[in-house]
Amino acid sequence: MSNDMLKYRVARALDAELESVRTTPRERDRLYENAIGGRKVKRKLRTGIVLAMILVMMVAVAVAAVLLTRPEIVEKVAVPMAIENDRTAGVQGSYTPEQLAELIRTLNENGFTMEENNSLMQALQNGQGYYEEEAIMEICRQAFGGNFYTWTLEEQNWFEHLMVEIGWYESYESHLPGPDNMKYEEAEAYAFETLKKKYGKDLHPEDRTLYTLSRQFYLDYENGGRATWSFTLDPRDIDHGMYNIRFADRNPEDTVSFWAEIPDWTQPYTGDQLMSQFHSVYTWFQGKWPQEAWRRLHEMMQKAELDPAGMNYAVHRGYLLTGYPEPAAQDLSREEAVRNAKEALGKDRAAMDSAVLTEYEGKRIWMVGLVIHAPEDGSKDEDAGHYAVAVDSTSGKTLSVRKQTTDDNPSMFFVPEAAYEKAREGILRESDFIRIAAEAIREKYPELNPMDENEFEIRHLGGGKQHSIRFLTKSIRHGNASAEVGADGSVREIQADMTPATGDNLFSRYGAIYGYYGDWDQSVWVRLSKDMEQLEPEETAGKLLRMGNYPAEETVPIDHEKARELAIRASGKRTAEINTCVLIGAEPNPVWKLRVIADDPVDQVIELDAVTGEVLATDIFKTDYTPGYVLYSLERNWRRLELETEGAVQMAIRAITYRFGDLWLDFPELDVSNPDEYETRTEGLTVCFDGRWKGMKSYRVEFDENGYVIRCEESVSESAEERPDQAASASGIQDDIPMRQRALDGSIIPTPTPQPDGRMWFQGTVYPDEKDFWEQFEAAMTEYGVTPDNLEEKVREWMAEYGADPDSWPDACYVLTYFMTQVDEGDFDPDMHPIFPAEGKPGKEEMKQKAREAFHTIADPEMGSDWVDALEIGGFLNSDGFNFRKGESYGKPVWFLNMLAWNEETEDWEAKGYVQLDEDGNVLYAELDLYGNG
Amino acid sequence: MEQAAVPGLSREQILSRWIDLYSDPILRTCYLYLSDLQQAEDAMQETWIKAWKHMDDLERKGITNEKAWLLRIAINTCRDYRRTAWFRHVDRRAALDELPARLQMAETEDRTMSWIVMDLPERYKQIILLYFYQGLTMQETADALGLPLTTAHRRLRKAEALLKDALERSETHE
Repeated sequence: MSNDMLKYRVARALDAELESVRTTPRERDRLYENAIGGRKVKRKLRTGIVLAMILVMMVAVAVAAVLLTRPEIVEKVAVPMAIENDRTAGVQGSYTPEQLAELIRTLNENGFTMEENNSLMQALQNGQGYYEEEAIMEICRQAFGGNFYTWTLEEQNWFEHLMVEIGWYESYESHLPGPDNMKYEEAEAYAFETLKKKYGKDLHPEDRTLYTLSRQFYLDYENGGRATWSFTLDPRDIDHGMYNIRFADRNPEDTVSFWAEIPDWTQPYTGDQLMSQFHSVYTWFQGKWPQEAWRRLHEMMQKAELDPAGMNYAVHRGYLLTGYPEPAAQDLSREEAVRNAKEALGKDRAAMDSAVLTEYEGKRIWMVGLVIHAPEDGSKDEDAGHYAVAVDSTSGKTLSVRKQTTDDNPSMFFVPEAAYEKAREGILRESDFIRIAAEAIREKYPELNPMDENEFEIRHLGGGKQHSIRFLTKSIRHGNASAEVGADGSVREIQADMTPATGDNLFSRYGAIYGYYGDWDQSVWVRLSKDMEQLEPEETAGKLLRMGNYPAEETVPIDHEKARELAIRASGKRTAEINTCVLIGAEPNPVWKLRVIADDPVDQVIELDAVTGEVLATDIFKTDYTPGYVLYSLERNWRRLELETEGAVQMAIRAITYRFGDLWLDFPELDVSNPDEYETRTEGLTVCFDGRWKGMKSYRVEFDENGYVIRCEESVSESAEERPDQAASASGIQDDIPMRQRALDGSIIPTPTPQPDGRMWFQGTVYPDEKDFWEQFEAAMTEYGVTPDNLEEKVREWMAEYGADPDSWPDACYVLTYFMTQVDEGDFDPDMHPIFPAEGKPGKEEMKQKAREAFHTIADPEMGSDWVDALEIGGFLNSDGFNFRKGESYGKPVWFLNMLAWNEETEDWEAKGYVQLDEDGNVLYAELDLYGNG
Repeated sequence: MEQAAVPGLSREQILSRWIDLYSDPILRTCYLYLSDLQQAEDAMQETWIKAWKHMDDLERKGITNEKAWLLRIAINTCRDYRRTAWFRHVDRRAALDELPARLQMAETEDRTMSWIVMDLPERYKQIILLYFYQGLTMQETADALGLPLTTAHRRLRKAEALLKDALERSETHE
């Protein structure tokens, strides 16, 4: 199986297996909100369906003729439909487009309609289904308003019971107060009164025009599971703050806690800060903002400090220039404006995304955002995208229809075109960045014209503050060019490859122009041959290309189609892919050379007489291992040239690898070039690799004068010398010897007791074989009273005594646990293991101090040094904290220290250091990273 | 693989876009790393919080592949989680059966492959996930795992060999 095939199979298998491991839109909304708010919320585990069939029987009643409420529609239509899906297709599925249509029809028949920019409606419009859980939640949001936490406790409780009953939730988060608890009204009154006391009498928490109230009555498991009330006031406009209060039901005065975020618009603020506040109050999707929000945004943008160099300057300026009046009697209604916009666009599938009334230079214009979703099957649809349609609010006429491009910013949907253009005056656009980059390149390299489309293809990468403009060459006369352009038009890093075409770079220039050579047709090779005529290559590949003398396909009777057919037949494969199919000039006849790729670890390379069709030669080719020139030059040419230029040794290594190596590997090369393992001898055209140690293999390869292999043999080494332990370790051979089979040479080892499931101890690491190690091990077991049977009990004792983190335990306890526990292997490196510190050598504390000293020497002095001193031992990297290990690559004891600094404020790792020291405290390696996870 | 940022988007919009695009790959990576869906969901949430806090690093450090960067954060987060769960004896093979039922049962061949991947030693499983499953380049994979490129290469080759060996054995037994 090729690695590509393996990759495909792994991806397909994991995709199939993890089908259910995914997020719903609602979950993603919550992820977003929590990320922005920096909050981490424990999520519920959803399990398989529970009581599903019972519930089906309970609720599967015909929809009655009387009108249903939305909760009833959820219970009697949406949930049974989902359960039916669960029964037939597994839980966590989606409604089909038909089911979604039925659901929305039922809602409509009972008098409930949804906004067109509602996600359910957009899915319906697009002929798609929708996530069940999200659809049900959306109906409930429509019924109860707000979100789950703004619902009454009864509504929350009803919803969660429903979810638990059908098996989507495992437990309840929200509870109803019982007879022994405060009544809801009492709790709310207490919360409001306390908030007023804390934050001042001007706070009117009861005023729902100012705040949205979220409430929760839950069990606080971080505090012994006590019943707790939580109330949050979310501002309904940006003038008010956000407040939270929580307290235990039994003892409110002593348990009450608060937090608040109170804006102060009397202080200077930026456009970004203002937008951020609006996004948090009105959601980030501006299409859902009420007209009043737009009016306030415009008003407050007047006082904002706008940064012309900021990436959102044009956006903020657009909102500053545009007014947002309330629709008056003479204005077109919102519905009429949307209808007119859709007619103007003339696409049936267009759905409304946003609609806002604007005013600019005395003109009142409805800006309507329309969306055409891309087909769900991934097929291309030129119409798909977002459109901004401007409709005159007085006459109803369509003023403009614009499709969003990568050069546009999001304000195009909420700002009339004239204001949008005005706001972007002086702001650089994509075409400007390209022009600036091209001019800068031209100034530095006057002979280049980056804007010449015959010479370059343009790529624009990045955005915001930095734009990377790349000009990819289409010419052999020069290479690529590029420049970095800042948002303000400043240019840096102007580069161009001005090397003229040479015999050694011509091939890569052709690659830049024509793409991968495996796909070239013969005409490209012919052109290459012609361009090569005047050049003098120095490298092997260039020389072979020069020798190629590629003729036109028309000069031979066998065309490339026929050659492909013959090659596949010669390969013995029923199906195969051909890439690289090139006609090479040769005597007596030109030769077709083809690469045949099948489901094998190596490809076949076949040479065919282009006149007779005879198979002249076959060879194997290993991607990334064999030089590419093998594919586009005659074997008789490359072998002879390679022998001349590279020598017999390199060719011998490849011959041995192809003969005896594991060709399934990307780099199957055997270790014969390792001088610690093999002695290399060359006698004329014969190369020998003699194994240095007893029992090893030796290899011998003999070539003829044209570089063809006459003989390639393997034999047992004649060496009688025993391999030193160290050499065995360095060769990596240990990996291949099962741990329990390693010779222990009389070491004292503890007698392991199998675990209940029969697995043995001591897994996941190299098995130490030094006698003194096991003596120490046994002594430590005695000292700490450890046996394989009581280890778990001992571990609990150590955790209680020294802390949960094994780094804080005595070294011996750590070593014992390491070797006696079936651990998660990822925490361990089989190339090394912890050992007992030697007597008389520096200990852990000294090493920590030496590590800090090392960090001081490499730390940037401008950053100060306090943070280095704050580094404490921790296990951030692969190795697990502060261990005394023996590193294979060192062959001697080495301390590995990972050190971290925790920032309490950001609740994140702020810096980390990593150092290796020998047992005397000499630093072998040290590195610092200031930004932890980032 | 270079990905162009969308010009003119605010930080919030970029995060929202990332969450839509990469939540599932991150959740799956965390799940395969931690073998516990609830922990994986927590790790994913934490990943997004960190991404939001460190978003500016992306530009400052000139990182062009946002997915690789996010997966690196996710893996580091998972490592922290595993550290706290150091003594938990997790049978990774059982984890697949604890997943919510799938829409469609995986074919036997796929299931065998998944089990083999899940059962690989952790160091090899990580590299298979990032390089084979998430499609990162070798350099991005090495960066995400905090390994030198050569070590990552060596580990990948070993992982491939282990996979093929295990597959062959499973096919022989069937």
